[in-house]
Amino acid sequence: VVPCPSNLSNVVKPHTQEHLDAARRNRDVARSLRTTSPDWTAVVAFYAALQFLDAYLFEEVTESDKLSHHDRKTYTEELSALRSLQPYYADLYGLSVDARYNPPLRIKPETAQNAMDDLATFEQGICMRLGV
Amino acid sequence: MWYHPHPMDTTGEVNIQEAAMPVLARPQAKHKRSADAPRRTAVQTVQPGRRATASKPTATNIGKAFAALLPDYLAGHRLWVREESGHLDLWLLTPSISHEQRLDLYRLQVSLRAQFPKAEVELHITYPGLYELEGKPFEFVPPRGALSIESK
Repeated sequence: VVPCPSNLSNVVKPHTQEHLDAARRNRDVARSLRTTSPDWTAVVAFYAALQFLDAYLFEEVTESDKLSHHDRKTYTEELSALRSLQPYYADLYGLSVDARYNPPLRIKPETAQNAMDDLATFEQGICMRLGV
Repeated sequence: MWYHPHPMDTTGEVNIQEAAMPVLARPQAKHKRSADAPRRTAVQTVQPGRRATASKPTATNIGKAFAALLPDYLAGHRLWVREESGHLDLWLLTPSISHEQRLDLYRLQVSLRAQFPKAEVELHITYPGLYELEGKPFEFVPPRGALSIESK
């Protein structure tokens, strides 16, 4: 899985680049948490994916900054360009909900690695769809 | 908390509590809908004494439609559905499955959306292998008011 190039400002809108920058920062934080906190790895990995998704949506679909989680979920399920990425986003969302709102449950390190794998696939997919 | 490791039992098996437990209200983000945002309509609730048609996006119909999409290896699965404020939650309790199988189950949401394009549905897949149980068994407590959907 090849990550997006760090600077795409010559090919995407400035705000799209800001979403991509935020996504990479979150991705790097998620990576740094893998050994110490599988729960937060899953949570931050989801928010990295959300920023990658927002980058695509801002660039290609809508310049709205008022999207809800349901709006994003709907786009991943309905837009043909995003449909193959939908399960990765849904898995990240589900794991992050478990980690945040079900305190007795603690995400396994292997599950956190699944989340990072989901994120890597999602990042690459968004990058390809942005044409880079 | 509707599902959690049981503190006493150490059999390592999945336990399911049918008794309703208090449900933590999941935070619902309040967003101003943008003009570009996809439009949603509420899940319809069937009135007592009235029969729902297959095409109506009721909680039971959506739950049954999702159950029909599940792969054969989940025969005998446990699925619950609950409608609240126009939003539908599906809880699917499975035996331990692989990451790829989990992704395949999430893919079914696209098929479900094709059948009920305007319903707000959220799928929760859960099984013991996702979590660090430290030798304790996994116990699933269906949320209060959730309906059990029978296996296909």
